[in-house]
Amino acid sequence: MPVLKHDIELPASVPELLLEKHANFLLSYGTDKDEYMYCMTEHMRMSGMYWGLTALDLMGKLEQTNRNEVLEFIAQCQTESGGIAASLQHDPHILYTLSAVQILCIYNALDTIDIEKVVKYVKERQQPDGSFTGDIWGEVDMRFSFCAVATLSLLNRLDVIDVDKAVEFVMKCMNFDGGFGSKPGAESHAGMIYCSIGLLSITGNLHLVDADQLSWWLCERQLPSGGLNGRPEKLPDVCYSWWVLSALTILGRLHWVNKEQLVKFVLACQDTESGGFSDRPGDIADPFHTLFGLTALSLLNTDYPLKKINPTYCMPEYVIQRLHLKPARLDQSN
Amino acid sequence: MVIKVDIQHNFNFSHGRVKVRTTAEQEALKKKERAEKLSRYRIGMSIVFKKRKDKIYDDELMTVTERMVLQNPDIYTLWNIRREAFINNDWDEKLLEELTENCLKQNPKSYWVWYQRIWITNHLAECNWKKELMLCTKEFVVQKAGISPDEEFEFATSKILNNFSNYSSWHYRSLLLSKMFHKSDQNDIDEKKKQELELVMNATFTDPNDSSAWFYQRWLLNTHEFLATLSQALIKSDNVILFANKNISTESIYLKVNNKNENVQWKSLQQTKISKLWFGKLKKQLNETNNVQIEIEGTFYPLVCINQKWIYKKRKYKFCSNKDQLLEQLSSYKQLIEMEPNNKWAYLTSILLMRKIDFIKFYENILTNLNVLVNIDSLRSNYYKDLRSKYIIEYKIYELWNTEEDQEIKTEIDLSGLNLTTLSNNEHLSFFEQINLGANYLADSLHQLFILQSCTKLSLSSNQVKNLKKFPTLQNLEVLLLRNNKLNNLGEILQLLTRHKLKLLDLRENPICNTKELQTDIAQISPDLQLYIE
Ligand SMILES: [Zn+2]
Repeated sequence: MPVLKHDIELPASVPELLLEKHANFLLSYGTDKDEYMYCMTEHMRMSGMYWGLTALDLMGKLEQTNRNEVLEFIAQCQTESGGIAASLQHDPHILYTLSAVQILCIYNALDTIDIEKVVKYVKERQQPDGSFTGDIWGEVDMRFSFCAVATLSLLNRLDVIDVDKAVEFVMKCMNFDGGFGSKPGAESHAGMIYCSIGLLSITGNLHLVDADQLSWWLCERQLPSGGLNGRPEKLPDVCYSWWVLSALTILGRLHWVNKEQLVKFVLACQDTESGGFSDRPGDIADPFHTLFGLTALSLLNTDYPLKKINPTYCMPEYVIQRLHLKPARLDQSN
Repeated sequence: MVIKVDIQHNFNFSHGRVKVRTTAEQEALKKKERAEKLSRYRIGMSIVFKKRKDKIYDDELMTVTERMVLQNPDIYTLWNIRREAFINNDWDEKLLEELTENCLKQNPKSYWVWYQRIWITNHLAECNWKKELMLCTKEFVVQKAGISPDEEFEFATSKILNNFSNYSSWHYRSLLLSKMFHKSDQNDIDEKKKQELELVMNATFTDPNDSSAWFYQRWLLNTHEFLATLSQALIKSDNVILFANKNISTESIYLKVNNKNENVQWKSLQQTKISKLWFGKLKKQLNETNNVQIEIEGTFYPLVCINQKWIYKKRKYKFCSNKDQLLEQLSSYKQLIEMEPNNKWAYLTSILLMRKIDFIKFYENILTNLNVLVNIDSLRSNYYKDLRSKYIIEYKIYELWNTEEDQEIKTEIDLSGLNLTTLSNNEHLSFFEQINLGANYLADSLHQLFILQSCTKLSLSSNQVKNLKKFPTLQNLEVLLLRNNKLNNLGEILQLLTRHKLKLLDLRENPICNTKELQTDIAQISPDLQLYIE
């Protein structure tokens, strides 16, 4: 038996899915606005809210959230530029713009913000080579391409950007292993692969990838512990259950990973006391890994009482259907 | 959604922070510490936001923001404010550089810090590139430093020789090699690949359980085709099908009749702009005396006419220029398998080598290896089963080719009873009219049937098919055999019938046969259908 260089050992007993605890963990998050953890994550508040609300919706607990408070907060976070900031007084960024739009779609409340201004902000992010900057400061990254395309498609305004150019940029980021990096020449990474495949799914360009080659690389992320890593020779992590599984689902090859083993790994990452999921068993739980633990279980189609998640948008499937969006998938013929 | 990947996002949504049990005393102490930290954070933020509002970009602003980003580099707005200060004042550039360096040492994976560094670097007139190169070999740095690709390749080689188990180095090497390939002729490419295969084999033997090198090796063993060539084409009445080895757009395809371009309405399967497979409609039927050619990216392919069909087919196996080397490597990996009978990589590489050396000759060995892999790498058993299906179909098509006349394209294929789990994307299947897929495991792969565009008669009997929701519309389909499956939904069958003009449907040995309305409902939609039920 080779030594487990880059893997972990699962605890002897794996808990059941503790949905009640996870719901309470997320619902109580932010009830105390002076709580340390809550305050210190102000610079990513918008995404934090998206993670929590999506997870709660999957568990059928959206009604228990404070809709009005959230909507009011989002409205305040939209700045003059049209972009949306992570929090009050912070700067707008495309990452938080998408999170805000995702929340508004879930709440069916897009009229909370000035849509035209969001569209303008996102459009202004596109560069001549098709890539997107995250904000006015010019950083270019595959994540921002995905955020831009996802945001505009949720608003049904993809027409304002040069989609062909955006796709061209994605294809420039493709590597020898069939994966994608954050920019041309950057190493393949499961998170970037999700962004690239998501963008190609939204724009109907999945035929540009070698699905067999890429999916093989993705299924090779599964380690003996059952968990998935994001790159070769790295440790497994619950959040990769999302990046890897969503891409495999879109590529029609989810069955290339071992579902039972992965479910076991995800369940082992639950905090059985306070609720929530952590990156690995025994670590501190947080809303980010809690969402991705639940979305993984939802994609794996186990019999848990969780709503279906859409692999392209990482939003509940019913929301995507309500918006009449049909992101492409290779396991569907048309 | 924020895609926070593999970075120590910040100190609480972090990766790898172990939950530890604490005593009540420790807890109280922690609480006090946190309260202090929090108040420092709040005071800091309010100072910074106030100064920004008043446009006071002074020393204090720089000190406070510095302290705060060193604690948490992900407060991105602080970096923005520092940039504003940088622009608004003539700040000491060195100071800014030092800060990102310190920050990176603590948080080597924070995107925000990396970008701050790049932003500053871009703005500095002078920069110590050598130092940058030591810190990180980003391509962007290399470009500015003016290092030649060959020197860079040497550097990469020395890095790999130091440590084979380094995925980043292999990735980097693939970039450099791809660049070199683009500028070289085929002989140079072959020679370079030979050297690389040697290097990578050494690496795989040095640490056979490290996956990094194996990925690079698989890439090297792939065929890198730069030119689009025609694999097969068929014209029958006013229909054209063509299949190229690479994705092409209709702009690079011309159908020439007596050297004049013919008007063709092209369609790809999923309405994509580029595709390997194209389906065309002619304005008029061709007449037998015509000279017909297809031009793809400047190369002409003549079609021959037989029984009112025009065909082009390429039936040669790919030439392998380094057969001796590959055979030698194959025997080395055989030895590795003897030493490490559970090393899946050695089995997989052997398969790839055999496939490249002589697929037909090694076919049985390849299947044997795949069966071993299904067992020793059980996490990915479904992957190997799908790969096996792909090879089996390919082999069956090769077999069929051997029975073909010179000027003939076979239109009937029997792929029954082969344990197929997927149809994969074998474009050749688009040319077949009668296809027997009976007695396989294709129930979850019905969506892949859309490739069978010429199919008139299809058997999917004995495939454990439970539902037909993903069964695509096949325009030419007339006979569909679904005997001995698990179909039990009448609605799905009626829906299928409305989408097709079927002449015969075999539903024997399906639970649905017990449904009372079956015959009457079907007769309403397809009155002339020949229906087989039990
Ligand atoms: Zn994670």
